[in-house]
Amino acid sequence: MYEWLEQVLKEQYQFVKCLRNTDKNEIVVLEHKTLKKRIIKRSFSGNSEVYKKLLTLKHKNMPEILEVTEFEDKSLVLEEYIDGKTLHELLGNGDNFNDLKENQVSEMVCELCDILSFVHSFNIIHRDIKPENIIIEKDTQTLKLIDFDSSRDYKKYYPRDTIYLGTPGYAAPEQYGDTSTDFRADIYSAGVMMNVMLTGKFPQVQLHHGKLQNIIEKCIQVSPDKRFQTAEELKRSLK
Amino acid sequence: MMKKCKYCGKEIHENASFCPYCMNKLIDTESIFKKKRNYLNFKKILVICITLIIVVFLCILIVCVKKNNPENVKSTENTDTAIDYSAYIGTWYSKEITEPDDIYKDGGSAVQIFSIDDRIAEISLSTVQSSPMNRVATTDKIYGEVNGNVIQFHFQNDGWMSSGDGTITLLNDTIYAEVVYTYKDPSALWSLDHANIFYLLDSETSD
Repeated sequence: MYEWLEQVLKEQYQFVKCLRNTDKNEIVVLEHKTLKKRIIKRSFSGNSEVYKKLLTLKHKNMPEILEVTEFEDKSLVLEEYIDGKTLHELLGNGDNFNDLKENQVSEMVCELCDILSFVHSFNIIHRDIKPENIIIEKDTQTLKLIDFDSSRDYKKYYPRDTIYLGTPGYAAPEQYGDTSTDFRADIYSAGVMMNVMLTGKFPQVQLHHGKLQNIIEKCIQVSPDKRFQTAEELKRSLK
Repeated sequence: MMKKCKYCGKEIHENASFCPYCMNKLIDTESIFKKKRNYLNFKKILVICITLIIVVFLCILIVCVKKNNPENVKSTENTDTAIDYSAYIGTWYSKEITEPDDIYKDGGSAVQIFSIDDRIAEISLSTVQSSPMNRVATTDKIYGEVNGNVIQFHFQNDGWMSSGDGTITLLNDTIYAEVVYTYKDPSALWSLDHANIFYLLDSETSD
């Protein structure tokens, strides 16, 4: 099916732009030549188990996965195209940093908690929560969590995470170490991201001072047991 | 090896879950709704059933009161915005149907309004596939909330274990019904029409 799909994509779609191109992973935007509708095509090496699971799931805060196929060690995933800007682009950086108000951050993180609760309930950990992986859809202003490349199914008693996959700064300490990561790693990253949304800096560099400070601090506890235990619990604390 | 896309008819790979020609997804997805649905326990179902029974009882009571005291009821209604709901009671068919039996020949949809007042309507929606398959999706009798000329309803099972919400808009000579599925069972082979305008058959309007 991999080859069949590649062939049809070549015939029916035109290349729009490349979003990422590394030796392991390529993400491109394609547009249907007659329907003029866009899709995202991800090609990567390694297994696509998590995308196969997402293929049967739907949530307003994530793009719909349309197709998953494998050939030898290559995987190809087609995904709904979201028209909008990433949170990273919206925040800007350096002197052009546009900080967000606490209530805007609360609203966005509540939406993030909705999608995290949803995927966690299917034993999926995202493991790469960061502003680059959040898109705010242009028309609806809905938050969309993208890029499940780093996530894999959560297996209890899994001995250790062998390869480092997360983004430095956002990854929970246990993602570097010996203990296996669980859903609470996403809570950690959400906490770091909240701080970045408010200050433009990692909490270790400059912790936000305000109403959300306690919530951020609880998210980024080194011990997972001291954090919010579920995304729902984090959402409740924001209301 | 190959199958036909159910939307555009093009030949696609048998394992495809997305048609790259017409860009439609071919498999049904599990939404947040289904997760919630799993939490529906026996107690909740019992409460819903009891509520429905009470609603039916109230409906019958209201209908009886209206029949016995037509003038009395009329005087209490707001005459400016009053809608003659009783005119909508009956079976409404999609346009191509001229005889009730046509629905089983050429396929089509029907909306039945069993009873309706300014608060509650007892309805059912069905869509039949053309012969010889004649697959039927039907909500059976369900209750909808009436607001002016709009009936809002939720259906738990369309006969294929799929569920969703919908609205019926009362437009004098026609009604317009719209259905949005919130959960589609992966094994479902048929479903209700997404949106349609419905008409009363001449035989029914003559009286």
